[in-house]
Amino acid sequence: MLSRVADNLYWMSRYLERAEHTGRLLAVKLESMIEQTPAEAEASWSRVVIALSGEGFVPAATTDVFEITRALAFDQVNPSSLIASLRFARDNGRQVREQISTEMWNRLNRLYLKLAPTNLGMLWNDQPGHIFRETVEELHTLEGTTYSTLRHGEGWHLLQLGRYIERAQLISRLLDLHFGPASRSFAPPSYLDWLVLLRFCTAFEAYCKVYTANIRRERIAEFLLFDAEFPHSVRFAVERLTEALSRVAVGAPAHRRTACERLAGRLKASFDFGQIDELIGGSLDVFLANISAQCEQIHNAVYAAYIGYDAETVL
Amino acid sequence: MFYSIRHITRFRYSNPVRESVMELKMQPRSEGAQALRSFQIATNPRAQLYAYTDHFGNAVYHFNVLREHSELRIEAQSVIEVKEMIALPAAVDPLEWQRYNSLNLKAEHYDLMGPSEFARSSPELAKFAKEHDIEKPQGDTLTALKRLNAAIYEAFDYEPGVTQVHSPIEHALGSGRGVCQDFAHIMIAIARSWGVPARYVSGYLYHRRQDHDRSSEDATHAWVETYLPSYGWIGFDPTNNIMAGERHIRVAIGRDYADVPPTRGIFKGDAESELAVAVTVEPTTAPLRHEEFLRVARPMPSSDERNRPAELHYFQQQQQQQQ
Amino acid sequence: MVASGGREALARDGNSVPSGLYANYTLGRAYDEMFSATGRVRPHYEELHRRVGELPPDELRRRQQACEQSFLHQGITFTVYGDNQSTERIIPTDLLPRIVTAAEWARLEAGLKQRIHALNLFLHDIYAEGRVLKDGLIPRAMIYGSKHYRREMRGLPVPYGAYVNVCGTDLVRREDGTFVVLEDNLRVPSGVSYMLANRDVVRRAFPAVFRNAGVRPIEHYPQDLLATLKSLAPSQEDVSIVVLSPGVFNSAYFEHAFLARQMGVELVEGRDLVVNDNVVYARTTAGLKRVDVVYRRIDDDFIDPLAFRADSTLGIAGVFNAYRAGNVVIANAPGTGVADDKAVYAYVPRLIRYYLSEEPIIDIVETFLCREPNALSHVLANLDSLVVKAVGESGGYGMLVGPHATRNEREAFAEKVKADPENYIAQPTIQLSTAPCFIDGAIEPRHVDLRPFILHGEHTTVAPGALTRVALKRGSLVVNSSQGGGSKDTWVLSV
Repeated sequence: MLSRVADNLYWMSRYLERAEHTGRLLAVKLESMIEQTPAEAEASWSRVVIALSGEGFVPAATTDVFEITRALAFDQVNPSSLIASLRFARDNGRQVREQISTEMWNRLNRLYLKLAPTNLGMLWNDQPGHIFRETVEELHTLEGTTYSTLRHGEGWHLLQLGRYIERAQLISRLLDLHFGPASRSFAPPSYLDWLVLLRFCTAFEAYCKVYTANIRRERIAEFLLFDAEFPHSVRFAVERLTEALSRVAVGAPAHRRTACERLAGRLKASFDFGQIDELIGGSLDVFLANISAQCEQIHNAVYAAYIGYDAETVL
Repeated sequence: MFYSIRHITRFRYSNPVRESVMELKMQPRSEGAQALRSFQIATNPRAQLYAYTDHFGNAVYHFNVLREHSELRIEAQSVIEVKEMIALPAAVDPLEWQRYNSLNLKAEHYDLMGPSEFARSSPELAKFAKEHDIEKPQGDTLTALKRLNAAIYEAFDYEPGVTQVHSPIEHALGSGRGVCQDFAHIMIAIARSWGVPARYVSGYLYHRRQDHDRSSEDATHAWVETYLPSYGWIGFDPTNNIMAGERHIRVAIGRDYADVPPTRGIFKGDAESELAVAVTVEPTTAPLRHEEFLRVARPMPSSDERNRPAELHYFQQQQQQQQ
Repeated sequence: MVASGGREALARDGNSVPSGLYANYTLGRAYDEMFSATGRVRPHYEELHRRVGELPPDELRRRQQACEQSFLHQGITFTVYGDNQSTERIIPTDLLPRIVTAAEWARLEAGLKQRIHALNLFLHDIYAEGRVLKDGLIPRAMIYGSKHYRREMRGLPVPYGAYVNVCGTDLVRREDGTFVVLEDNLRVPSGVSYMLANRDVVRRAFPAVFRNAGVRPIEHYPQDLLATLKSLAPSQEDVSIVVLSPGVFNSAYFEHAFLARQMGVELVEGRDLVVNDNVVYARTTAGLKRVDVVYRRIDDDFIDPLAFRADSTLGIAGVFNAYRAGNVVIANAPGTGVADDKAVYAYVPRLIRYYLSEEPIIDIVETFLCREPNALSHVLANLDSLVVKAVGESGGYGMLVGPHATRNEREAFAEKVKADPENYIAQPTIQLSTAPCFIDGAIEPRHVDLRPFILHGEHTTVAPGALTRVALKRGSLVVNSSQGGGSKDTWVLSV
């Protein structure tokens, strides 16, 4: 597979995952405001803003929920906004139109074109979270379309790699904001905040099946970090990305593959043997910080090995 | 006599570049009075060199460097032997002008009689020619060309830095200053306007104190060759107001500078490149080495070289075949 | 209700008698593909004509829409420049096929093969000994002065002497029914993907007629193209072929991607390739993979910033030297544009005689070369009846259609011609033949041309089909898609 094409597929998938995450956070937050006082709502929005602020975006110092939502969702200048993520996904997809199926392209294209001209003001007074719900659903459908229509070859595995690296980083960031160093700038999460966190990760029902409706802080961390079967746990993402990595660039020289696979393997191993009780007591901070750092290392290694390599190093 | 030439070219890049590809026209020609005795190129970073012959018969070398580098150094060393040149008469037969009417001549030298990228007419050139009374040739062909040579020498100051490598002739014409490249282009353009085939020669000039050459010693040099039907190609050096002779070492010929740059390259990277060139030409009593220089493959004869006898040069005093 | 048109005579001078579908079908001077001058349906169109007549009134409209939907779904678009911005448009496909008889095609096929052989011999000659120039058949200035003549190609060996590997030749049918060559496209001819896409939709629009007619299949074009490209490689083992495209924003990108996909080869852009030690490689996730044949859909100028335009970001630095050394094949070879020059066009019949000692099987249109003083004065005196074209332009730009232009337009154009006569040629207007098209609920004649595709490698193949381009505006003679033309499926009958 051409390196350039691999690059586009990988990033298309990362941006789609990012868009879905953003959409879901916004939908959940807006829906949950009904249950909060304005003061409580304001406080918890700060977490969301940090969670969704990437590089290059300085959130305006405002507590106006409408403004916050608009900036995080529809501001084309904000490179981390929902619409920007979709735009980048679409741009990447367009470059590799030939590698993705027609159905995939049509869906992605239509979604962007439909969402781009949205006037949030007109929707604000009546179920503002609805538009984000719809977007998330549409992205789910896109995922299903991808699964069914794209041959599960190298291209498909690159999409998985991108999706799960992004997911691992996004979830661990959310966890950091509730458990880790970043959480210190906020008041400790209320009961509602824990519920909302689970909903951010579509985890509420799944959590209840495992732990019953007994919402406890340590169990939430355990679930979102270590549950091997829940799609939005960090462990799940790490295992999938490791598997995807093994199916990419199969023809590449062995030493290049080893470099990437070793990093992924190490990250996976830390989940195989991690114990939440140990971490909660002491090194959870370090553990969470490590996840993000190691994901970044894997990303860089993939680039160096398969995509942006110096031509001369391969001859 | 023998000359030993050392030509060093160094590119420095403001940021590291990669995947650079470069072509070199640095191998002195081996024809007429000049014979190439040895030639070698070394590059740093090291690279595999490849070669071909272009449609002017110039030897072109090329190489690429994939990995990142901040500097590229090319060193060419050659030894040439120059045989004694037979003197030209002071003037030639006035009927020489008629011989340009030959259809065969026009066909054979087509590319060297029409405008090329740098050597072409313009209102400024026409004005210049008129002002210096060189709009039309005066006297026999050789006399007229000598006069043109002198006129350009007198009309301009030699000053590097006023014009650049890709400057059109209007820059020199406008400022009255330029370098050998500009003077050669202007002379070629005017000679062609007279119906005389003219070509650009890039190479080296061996400087001696007593010659008081205007051109820079530590640099490559450019001059002109014009075609006289009865004498072949005759060289003129408008920078120094002399005829091309034993001190001129020919490297590449073409329609103008665009055909013969010593180096031409492409690289990847966001960088500015800075070029430094050093040339030394020294007489030597015998060749330093008898080395096999790289054999250059010859392509099929081009349409301009079909059936034609070995390169005519005034040294050989051969009549061109009339067909 | 059954449409009653067609069986009744469609009077020559435009008094149309019948009502229904063919109410607006007026015959003029142009040869009509479906109807003879007396208004009778030509035998090879009878079945189609009958079937169309049988369809319920809205059925044709429904099928036409299905045609358009199909194209929309597939994203078969063409980028049109010059509308203040570039926009993606669907090239309209008219669902009524244009039909060519087996006998007519046999002659065309022979003529096209003859033509490409002569052109390749010509290219070889002017890049080697130049006998044709020495013998005075063509002015040297026209060849050496052409911006498409590449001196770098002099003396370069080209596999099988096949400089042109893919050719699209535009033909039109004159009033008297004979086909003549309007233009060759020897550099980067396009349109074959529409030829294939049209066949796909029209076959489904008229399945029974298609089956019964015995139409020659064209679906194997990609395989033929692949075989042609492969034949050019020095070694036939494990040949790596790529399609080199300028990228997604190029107007013909759809076709580049389509052909790459159908041939099963990689679609690349210049930045995917790199030359090392005179060999071309593609950057893949598994490392650098050698490339043997580049089917390039990029202009000569942009192929290699080292050899040609230094500012090109579309090409590969050093690829021409690799080509020179025989380490990669470039198809079509650089420098073919000199032979599809509009001025050289006028000499092609002479070239056929010169190289093949044969009479041209297909004629060209009478052409006046404005570089010749007599021709120039004739042209300037007759602008109102001539089509004048700038030699350097393509896509229908830089052209004056005398009879359709205003006096001011003609005068302005005359100045351009006088300023640069060598750049202009003129031809009498030809009434391109007309073919039935489904326009706004009725069937009307529109002018069409014919672009077959010829492949030339170790062997020469003429695809048994073509792109028929349609000038959709009533009376217009301009068929180019970039100026709002459309296209049709072309049926070449096997018997």
